[in-house]
Amino acid sequence: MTDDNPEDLSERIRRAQNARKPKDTSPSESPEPAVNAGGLALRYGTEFAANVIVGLGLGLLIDYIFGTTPWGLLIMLGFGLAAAILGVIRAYNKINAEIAELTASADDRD
Amino acid sequence: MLRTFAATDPIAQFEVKTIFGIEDVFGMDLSFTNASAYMLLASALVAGLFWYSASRTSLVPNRLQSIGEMGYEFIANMIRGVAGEDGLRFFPFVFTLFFFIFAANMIGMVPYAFTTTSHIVVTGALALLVIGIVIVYGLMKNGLGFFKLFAPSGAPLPIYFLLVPIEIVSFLARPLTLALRLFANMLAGHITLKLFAGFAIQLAATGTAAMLLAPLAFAMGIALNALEFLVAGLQAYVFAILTSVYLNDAMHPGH
Repeated sequence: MTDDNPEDLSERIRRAQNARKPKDTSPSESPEPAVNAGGLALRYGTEFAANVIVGLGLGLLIDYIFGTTPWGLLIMLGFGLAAAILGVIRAYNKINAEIAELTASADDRD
Repeated sequence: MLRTFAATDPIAQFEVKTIFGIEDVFGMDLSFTNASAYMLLASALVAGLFWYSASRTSLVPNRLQSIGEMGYEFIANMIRGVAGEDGLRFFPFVFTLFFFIFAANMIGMVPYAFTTTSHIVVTGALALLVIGIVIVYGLMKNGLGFFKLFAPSGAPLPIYFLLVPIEIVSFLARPLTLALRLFANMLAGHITLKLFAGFAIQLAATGTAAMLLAPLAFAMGIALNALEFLVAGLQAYVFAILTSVYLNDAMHPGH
């Protein structure tokens, strides 16, 4: 390490300043790396279960308020399932994009 | 035999025990439990660390000040990357959230300690706090424009009758996924840890040829321990980054 080298220092200052500039990238979703199969399963599983549970809860709530048993439940459960599948597809796309990014940066390093 | 099972019961570690009871405050049980104690410990550790690291600053930082600065930089860069420069107004919130969860997870890795984040009440309360801030701030900043979040632009009109309910459900599912993911990871991880440690003890206690398998279970327990440390850090990070993603939605709906 040549920390007292002035050129090195100004280079480092420039790099630190560049890092602080607002980057013109669209905000990305969670870059949670795919750790292992169990982690992936938990991720898809929670995504699916949470959406179905919310659909179920909304359906029961609508039925409770408007007295439309069982139609609110049936319809909102359908929407919950749709949202669950959408959520899993989104998570899948995100993970694939992360893996592509990881392999690309690994290729750069070679 | 019964005592062996009692000592290796993988669920016993999650038991909430009352330390001193404050029962029936307006009909609620507000007893101080081991969960409260460990949450206080986590808060105190984080507050103490950052108070100490900021108390005697110098241009060339010592070790603790360095930790504080690295923590600041880490969270600040994460928020900048996800929510842009104006996301930094939420810096204190995300910073506190991350280090509280991180400390709670790491305390949970200490043998005999209680893991507060393995209880869905705790993670659920944190997730509700996040989504509450998202909704309140989103409505304050954008008014009714906040509801553009539920109607992504560029679809033909009839599709919106399907799209809007689906988007509403998936928005409401966010706090649940946030809470469930942290809770499930910590719960599952700590149960497997306890199970493999228990296997090692039970196999060694058989006194037969099965004893030879005990080191195998023990080695697995050590490997899982390393994995659990990774998960403990990662899940705190995931919680913080998802929080900043949702806060970004509150600031700029309609993406």
